[in-house]
Amino acid sequence: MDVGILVQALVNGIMIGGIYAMVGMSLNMIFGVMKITNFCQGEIVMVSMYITYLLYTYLGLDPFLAIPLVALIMFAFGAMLQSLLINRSIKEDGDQNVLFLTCCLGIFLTNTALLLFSSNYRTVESIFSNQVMKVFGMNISLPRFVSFLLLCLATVLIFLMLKHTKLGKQIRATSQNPTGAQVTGIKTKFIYTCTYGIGAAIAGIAGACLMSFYYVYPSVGNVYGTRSFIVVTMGGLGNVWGAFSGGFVLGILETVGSTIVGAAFKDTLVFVVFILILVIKENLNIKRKRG
Amino acid sequence: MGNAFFKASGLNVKYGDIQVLWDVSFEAEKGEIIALVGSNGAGKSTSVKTVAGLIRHTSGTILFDEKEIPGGNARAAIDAGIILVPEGRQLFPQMTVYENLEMGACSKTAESRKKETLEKVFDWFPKLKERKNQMAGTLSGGEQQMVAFSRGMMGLPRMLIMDEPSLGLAPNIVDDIFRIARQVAEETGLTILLVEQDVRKALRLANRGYVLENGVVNITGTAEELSNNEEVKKAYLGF
Repeated sequence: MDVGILVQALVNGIMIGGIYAMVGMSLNMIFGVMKITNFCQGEIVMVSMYITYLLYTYLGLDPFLAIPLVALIMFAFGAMLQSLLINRSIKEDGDQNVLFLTCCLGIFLTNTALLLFSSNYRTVESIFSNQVMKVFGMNISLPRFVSFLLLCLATVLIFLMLKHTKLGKQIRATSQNPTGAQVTGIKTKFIYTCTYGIGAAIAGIAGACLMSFYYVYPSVGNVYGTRSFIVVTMGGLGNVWGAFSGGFVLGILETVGSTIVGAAFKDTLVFVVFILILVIKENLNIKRKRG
Repeated sequence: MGNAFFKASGLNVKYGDIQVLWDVSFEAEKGEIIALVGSNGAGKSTSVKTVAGLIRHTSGTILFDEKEIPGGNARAAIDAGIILVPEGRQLFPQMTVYENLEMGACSKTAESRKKETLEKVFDWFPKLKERKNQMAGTLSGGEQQMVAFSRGMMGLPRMLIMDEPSLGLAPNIVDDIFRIARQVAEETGLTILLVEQDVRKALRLANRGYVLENGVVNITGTAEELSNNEEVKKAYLGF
């Protein structure tokens, strides 16, 4: 097989991996702070894609330029979901309520989109659409490349925010010890709302970027929901860096894998590797416990 | 009869259907050190958690400096000046000592005077200054308790509640912390509410004490009275 094709696939994988990493990170952040598994993260990506689509159709806003606005809208949307619905179900008993709630929210959002936009695929144009960069004989799609850069930038900004701002420190404190957070006067409910909002905003940034080279349809969230769970489980739930690297592993696996085994077996390969990773991780864990 | 600086009266608390506090009352004057003692499960921790707003009481009132503290609102208690150093320390393990202390200064006044307070804290515990960039989770138990106490002090409390500070720690470290607590109480008029299983130690530090048993205040008196009380001696001091 031609090495050039493999390298090309690798580069493509890294770029799509950026999107997976981002969605995985958003899921992980919500889990890390609130200890809830958010089953509608994929649908949140879908909502943000439709928002990008609407901004483009009615305001003529380029998807890349729309990113700040989409992030803001998604923050508000997420914060609202959290404070109106999810927060109320947490206080009851255990995880089940949140699990059902977020799962149903996902179905609800998908079907609302179906009702509003029908099941047709929708696309938008960006200034970089259909442009290709040639580097060392590789063809790099410009919208994917710009998306990748923007996602890296967003990730760095989020880390700086968590590390240095007051809100970021409060988020970290709450995730590490909720009781400790309460006795130091952190309003944990407010932090939960902010975190969910930030999680939705991160997913929104990914969604807007995705819109520049991909199409949206009501059940598109399934693709990214499942992918983000794989990413997070590979990297370790609650471990933000793990999710980040998991995203790239998944992206590379998909593209390189599909050039080797053929596109039809792409998903099979992904899940086989995923299961292998889980088995290996579990064995390592058992060994560590024994050792 | 005038109201004390701090007064909790007739606190009733339930966990679900199970009542754990029955009409518990205790009070403290400004600058006083009060000990709540009793065996495991007597309701000491629940009492102070209620005062600190972590648990909501079903009836009773908490008065602090002539203002009523609402139940179940930790931030309101903190803003009034009641700060809890919780049982088990509850630090942020993956944050540095410095960041942990920083988190303690949450009210506006506390935040604006962060630097001064921090200097004081490092004066009390030079070890914390050495380790300020170390993750709190990597400290020894004693050092963690120093951080927990200091984090509480960073919030500029008017009443500090210490819940089981000696649990699982070497005696000399506990003595250090108690010595500093007493010094601060004498110098600044800080009121201290101490919850302890180690009755002997608690009565050595405190001015007065309350003995709780099964969610009810059984015996109260000055530290000296309690130390000489036959019942207390038999049950807690091992005479």
